[in-house]
Amino acid sequence: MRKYYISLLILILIATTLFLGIGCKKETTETTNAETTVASTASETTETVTTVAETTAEKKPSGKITVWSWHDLDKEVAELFMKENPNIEVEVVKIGPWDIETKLLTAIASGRGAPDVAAVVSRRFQRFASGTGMTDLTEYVGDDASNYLEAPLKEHMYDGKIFALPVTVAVMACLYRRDLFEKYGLEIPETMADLYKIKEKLPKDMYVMPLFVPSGQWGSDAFRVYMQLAGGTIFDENGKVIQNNAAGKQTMNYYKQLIDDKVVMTGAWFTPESYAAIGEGKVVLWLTNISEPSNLMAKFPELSGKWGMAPLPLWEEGSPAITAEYGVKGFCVPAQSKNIPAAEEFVKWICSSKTAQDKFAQNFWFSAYKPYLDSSEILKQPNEYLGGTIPLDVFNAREIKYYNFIDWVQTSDILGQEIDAMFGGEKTPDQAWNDFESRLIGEKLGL
Amino acid sequence: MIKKYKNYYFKNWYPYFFISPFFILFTIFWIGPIIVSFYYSFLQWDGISKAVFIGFDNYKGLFSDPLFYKAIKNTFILTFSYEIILIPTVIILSVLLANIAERNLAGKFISNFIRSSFFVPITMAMVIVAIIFDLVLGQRYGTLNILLNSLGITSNIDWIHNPNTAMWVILLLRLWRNTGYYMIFVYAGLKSLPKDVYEAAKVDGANSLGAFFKITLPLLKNIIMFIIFMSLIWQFQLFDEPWVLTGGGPNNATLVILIYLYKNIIEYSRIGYGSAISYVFTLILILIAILQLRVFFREKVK
Repeated sequence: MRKYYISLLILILIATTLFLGIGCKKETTETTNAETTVASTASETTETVTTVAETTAEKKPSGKITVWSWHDLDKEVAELFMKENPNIEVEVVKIGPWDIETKLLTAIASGRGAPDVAAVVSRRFQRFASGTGMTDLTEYVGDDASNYLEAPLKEHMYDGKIFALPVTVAVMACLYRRDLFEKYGLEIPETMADLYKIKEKLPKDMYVMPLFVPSGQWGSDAFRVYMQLAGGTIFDENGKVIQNNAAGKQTMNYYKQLIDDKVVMTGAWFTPESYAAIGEGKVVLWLTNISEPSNLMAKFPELSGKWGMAPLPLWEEGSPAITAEYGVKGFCVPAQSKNIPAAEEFVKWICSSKTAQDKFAQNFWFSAYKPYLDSSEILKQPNEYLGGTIPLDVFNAREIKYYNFIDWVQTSDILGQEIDAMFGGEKTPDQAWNDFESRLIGEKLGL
Repeated sequence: MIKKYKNYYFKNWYPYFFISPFFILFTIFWIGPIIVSFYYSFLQWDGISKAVFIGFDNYKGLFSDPLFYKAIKNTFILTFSYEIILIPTVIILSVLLANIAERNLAGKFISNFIRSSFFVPITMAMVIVAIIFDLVLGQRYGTLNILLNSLGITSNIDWIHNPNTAMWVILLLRLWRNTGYYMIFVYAGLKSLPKDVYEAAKVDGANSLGAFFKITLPLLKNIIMFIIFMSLIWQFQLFDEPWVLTGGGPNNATLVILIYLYKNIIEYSRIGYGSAISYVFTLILILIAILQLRVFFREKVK
C-alpha cells in the first residue's frame, strides 16, 4: 500500500513537471539563437505584454513591442523613439536577416511566435506580402504613402496594399579612386562603354572594377541592376516571365565580354581577400551600393579623401538616367502582433521621422521618405572621406527604377547558377539566358 | 495464461510510468513531426498561403528534377571519396602516434601535444574554419597560391570558388576536421591490443609490416567497422562545410542533398517539395544502413 501511494506521488510530480515544461504560456517571445537587449531600464524579460492601455484623451498607442532587426543601429534608434514616445517600450532583438526570414516563415506557418515588428530585406519580401501573415498598413499610412519614393514603396506592396514601409534605400552608384584616376589620367565613366576607355589606360595587373565570380545570389543582384540599366526586366507587370528577353541576353553577353577582355577583377566579393584587393588599389572603381562608403571608412580609414562617388554610368549614350535598388530595408508588422497600434507607430516613426533618419544618414543610409531627403542637412554635407562629394547629389542624380521582385529568392538562385555555368565555359551567354528562362517557366515562378 | 500475464503487468505498472515521460516527449517532438512532414510531402504549401493537396506530384517532380540528381550525385561522390581517404589516414596516423608514444620518440609532452592537435579541428567553430580556409585558399592572397608561386609553380586558382576544385576543398576540410575524432577510437584500440600476440609473432619471424596486416588490422576490425558505419551515416548528412564555404555553389558544384533540402524549405518556401526530398533521402539512408549491416555484421548475424 505504501508503495502505491509513493508511486502515485511520484507520478503526480512527474506529470506536474511535464505540464510546466511543455505547457504553452499565452505570451512568450522566442529568443533562442538571438541576442536580446532591452532598450530600456526595465528588467529583462522574455514575455511580451499584450495589453494596450488607453492613457490620454488622444488614445496614443502604448505598451511593449518586440522588434526583430539585424542592425545594432536600430537599437540606438529605438532608444530615441522611446524618448519621444515614453508610453511605448521597445525591445530590439538582434537576429540576422536570413534568420529573420526563417523565423518569420516558421511563425506564420505555425501561427505563433512572430514579433510585433520585423526588419525585412525588401527584395525578398514579396512572399510574405502575398500571404496573410502581414498587417495591411495601407489605411494607417494613408496619404503619407505619396511621400515615399515610389520604387522602394512598391517593393513592400502587394495587390495595391502596403504591407511594410521602406526605412532605408541603397541604390547602385559608382565609387572610384580619385588618386588612381589622377595618376592614370582617367575620367569618370558616363556610360558602361567608358569602362573600356579606362581599361586602356591601366597597367596590365590592374582592373577597372570587380565582378562577382562565382555569381551566386549576390552576383544575380548586380546582374539584375545592369539589366535594368539596359532597359530590361525579367518579369512583366503581370508577373509573367518575359521570353526571348533581348536585354537579358545583351547583359549576359556584356558580362562575358567584361571578363574575356579582362576589364573586371573576378572573385568572390565582400570577403577578406576582396577587400584586400580594394585596399591595394587593384581596382580603380566599384559599381556598388551607395552605402558602401560606411564599410570602406571602417576598413580603410587611411584612404580618406582618396575615394570619390559618382552616379551610376548610363548603359549607353542616350539611355535613361536611372539606377536600381541594390539593398532596400523595410519594417513590417506581422499580423500576429499583439500590439499593432504601437507597432504601426514605431514603423511609421522609424521610416519617416527626422530623428531616426538623421541617425541613419550619419551612417550613409539614405531615406526613402521624400520630405526628409529634401531637408536633410547631413546628406547635403560634402563628405570628407569621399573627397568632398555630396552624397545626396549622387543619390538624386538617377531615378530609381522599380523592379518586380517576384520569387526573387529562387529567381536569383537560378540566375546565379546560369551565370556561373557561363563563367565556367559550359554555356554561351545566349544558352545560359535561354536556359534561365526555361527553368523559370518550368519552376512556375511568377504567375 | 493471458489473464496471468495481464495481472503481472497490472501489478507492476509503476516502472512504465517512470519511463513514460521520455516516450511521451519522444512521440510529441520526434515521431509527431515525422508523421506531419510525411503529410506535408503531399501538399503544395509555402507556409504562408493555404496548403493545397496535390497527391504524389511532389514525388513525381522530384524524380524528374536534375538538381535533385545532382545533389545526390555530389553527396555520394563526397561520401565515398571521404571514406576511401579517411579510413587509411586514420589508421596510419593512429599507428604512427601509438609508435611515437610507445617508443617515447618525442617525449611525453610532445606526443600528448601531437595527439591533442589532431583533435583541435573538430572543436573549432565552422565559421572560424571557413575564414581560415578562405585565407589559405584564396585566389590572390591565399597562402597556398603564394607558396606555389614562390616555388615557381604559377597558381591563380580560386580553389574554393572554382567549380572543378570546390568539391575537393570541401572534402579536405571535412577530413581535416574529423580525422582526429576517429583517431581517438583507433588509438584507444591500439593501446588495448595484447602485447603477447606481437611477441609471439616476432618469435615466429614476423616483421612489422606483417604484424600490422596479420595481427593489428584483424584485431581492430570491429573498431574500423564502427568508424565506417558511423562516418558513412554522418557524411551523408553533410551540410555545414559546403553551406558555410560555398553555399552549394559555384553552379551547384558542391550542392549536397541537405543543402538542396534546406533551400527548398527555407529559401524557396516549398515546404511540400522539401518534405518529399527528406523522405526520399531517408529511404536512401535506410537502404544504405541495411546494406552496411549485412556487409559488416554478416558474421555476427550468422
